[in-house]
Amino acid sequence: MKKRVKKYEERSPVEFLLLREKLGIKRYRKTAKRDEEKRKILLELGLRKIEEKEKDDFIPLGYRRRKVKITPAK
Amino acid sequence: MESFSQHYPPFKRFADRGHLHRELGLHLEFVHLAPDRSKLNGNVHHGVGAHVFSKGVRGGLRWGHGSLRDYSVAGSRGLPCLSDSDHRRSSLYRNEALNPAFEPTSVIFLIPAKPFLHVYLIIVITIKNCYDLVKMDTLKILEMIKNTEFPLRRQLLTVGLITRLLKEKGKKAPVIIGGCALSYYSREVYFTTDIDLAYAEREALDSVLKSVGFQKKGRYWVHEGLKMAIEAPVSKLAEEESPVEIIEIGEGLQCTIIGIEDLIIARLNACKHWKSEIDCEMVELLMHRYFNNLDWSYLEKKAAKPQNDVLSELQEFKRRVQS
Repeated sequence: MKKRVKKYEERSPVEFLLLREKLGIKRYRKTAKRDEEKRKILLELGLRKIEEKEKDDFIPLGYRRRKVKITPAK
Repeated sequence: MESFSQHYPPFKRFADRGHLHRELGLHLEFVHLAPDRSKLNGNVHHGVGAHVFSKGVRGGLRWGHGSLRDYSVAGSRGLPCLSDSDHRRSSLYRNEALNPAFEPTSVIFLIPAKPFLHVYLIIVITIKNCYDLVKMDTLKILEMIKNTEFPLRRQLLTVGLITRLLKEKGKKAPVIIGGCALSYYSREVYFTTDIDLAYAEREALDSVLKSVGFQKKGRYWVHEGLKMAIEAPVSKLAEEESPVEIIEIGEGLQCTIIGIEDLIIARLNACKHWKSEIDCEMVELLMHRYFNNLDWSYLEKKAAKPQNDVLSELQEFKRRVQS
């Protein structure tokens, strides 16, 4: 018997959002606690990413005012 | 504007942006000349043309110059778009990039009356709405959204466009709330698919969304081409004095976003009442990053309100971050 391989289709997250709404599935909220060490590492990674992004792309212009750089797709 | 003509006589050559910037200390956008014209004539225009100066996005002057060809180049870059015949009529297209807030703007036209002799006719006009090119600009921005790489920036551009269209109708700016706001403050560490807006005037918002190609599907407004979903779950922020942040995203577009304090309160609520672990983690991340920028008295006052009741959780996070 011929093995059927389902062709990969790129779907937009918006389609899933609508599908979830149609099926009455509400927002998924992860309630299980993460391992404390993992949580710490992820926090550090997150803070580092914020710092990097703020250097070039989120430029402060004044009190509660920033410019976000828009990068066109290559 | 007056000081410009005073210090920079029209017969003087318009060299480059740097030169103007040095001499006048003005923020200027430079309109590129078509290369062959630059080679032939340097930066001086012969024949019928005009130099246009107007108030720019951040209060500086924005300028454009040249003939029809230059302006078609300039127009494609989102800069002042004029044609020769329009110069002669002394009229100006309503161009959002030129005049993003649609406020009356003073424009100086320097029209070479006698080519080669540097005799210029100076016309100062205050323009408001001469031509309506909104549709054209909107399409250009929609194209830009499509071509933008990062999801958050696509979302901000979309809200920027909606904000501008609402302001044109004399309406207030919508406020970005929810996951999109978290995505902004976490600098894209967090990502969400949809955009949540707080907006009271639903009819105006609906008509603007329709005009840019969104369709209502369930509780979302969806744009098929942009693969974007918008929801307006609340009509306004809880209180009038709620702080907000302004985001500038170029092309004269601006977004208003919920203040960091209100966002933390919303996430604390989800952390406590929904036991949402990701929201607890995000509160910790935001508090680490913004600890010294937070308005603590507002935050604590808000957290203590009976509808929130998250003061003890807030203090616990505060202790954790301080330690």
